[in-house]
Amino acid sequence: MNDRMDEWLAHLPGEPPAPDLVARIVTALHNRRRTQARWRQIGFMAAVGLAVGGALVVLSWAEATSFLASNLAGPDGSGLSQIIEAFLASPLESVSGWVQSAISLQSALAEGIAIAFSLGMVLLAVAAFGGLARLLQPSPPANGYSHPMGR
Amino acid sequence: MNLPDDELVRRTLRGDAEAFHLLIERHTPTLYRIVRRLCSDRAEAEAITQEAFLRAWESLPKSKIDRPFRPWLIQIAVNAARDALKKSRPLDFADLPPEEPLQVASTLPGPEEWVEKAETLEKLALAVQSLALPYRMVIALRYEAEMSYEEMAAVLKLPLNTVRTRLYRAKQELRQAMESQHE
Repeated sequence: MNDRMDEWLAHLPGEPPAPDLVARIVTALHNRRRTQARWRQIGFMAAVGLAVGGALVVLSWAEATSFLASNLAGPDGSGLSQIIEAFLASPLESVSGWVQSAISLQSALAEGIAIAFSLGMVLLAVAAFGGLARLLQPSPPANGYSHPMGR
Repeated sequence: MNLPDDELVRRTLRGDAEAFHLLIERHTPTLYRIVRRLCSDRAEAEAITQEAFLRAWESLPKSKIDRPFRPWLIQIAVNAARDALKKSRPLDFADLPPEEPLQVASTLPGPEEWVEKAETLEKLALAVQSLALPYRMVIALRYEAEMSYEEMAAVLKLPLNTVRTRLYRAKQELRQAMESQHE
């Protein structure tokens, strides 16, 4: 095999890379770094939200559950099955009752009752969204392609 | 800055972004030439070259760099090219003929009759493009990256003999292609 084929293969004509290819790769790398930093930030915020929200919910759990139970249960303190039965029997009255409960809940919240619980729930929801977004984060294409100017 | 690759890798791992930029600058021409030999499209070759550097940058902190940077980077590029080309041209991955023992001497006539060198090289480059991808890979690694058989075997994760056989077969096919063009 030591004929001229080796020599020729070593001198095959080939085009040089585009002059700006290095710059484009560096730009893509910057973009990748920035994107990763952003996702790290989202992950951190979600973790903080989870911790703070979880703590608030745990601390205000007793107060909030008793408050919710008294507001969401029927006027006579009925349970869930009775609420459903009442709804099936007279939907309009039940709905209006729930609206009343919601209004009283809101006014109670405005008075400062269960604020910690609500804030905790909001933070947990934000953390859940952040975590979900991270899970659904678009991964780098497995086929090896990426746009020259990065994503 | 004429620092060796190892030092630039160490600096990159310490968070020096400029060090990795120097590695990009240093290895882009070789990497591009190898990848360009594997795919027929310039834009595709550029995208694969870029992807190889991005993958290298992401893998660097997780990798034990106990081997030289260049073959490691070339391996990443070859894998990226393989992934990309598998999607776009699955036929390139059709089974190769079974690996048979090497014939030491070729019975085919040598290529001495071919006339103009430049013209011959152009034809040869085209013939290389029409080879199956595994053959193009060994040609690119051997002649563009100037790798030894051992390095090629490590990059392609193939036994040494398979690499030798593939290179032999690739050259045999090239010789036949050149002869058929000449006739």
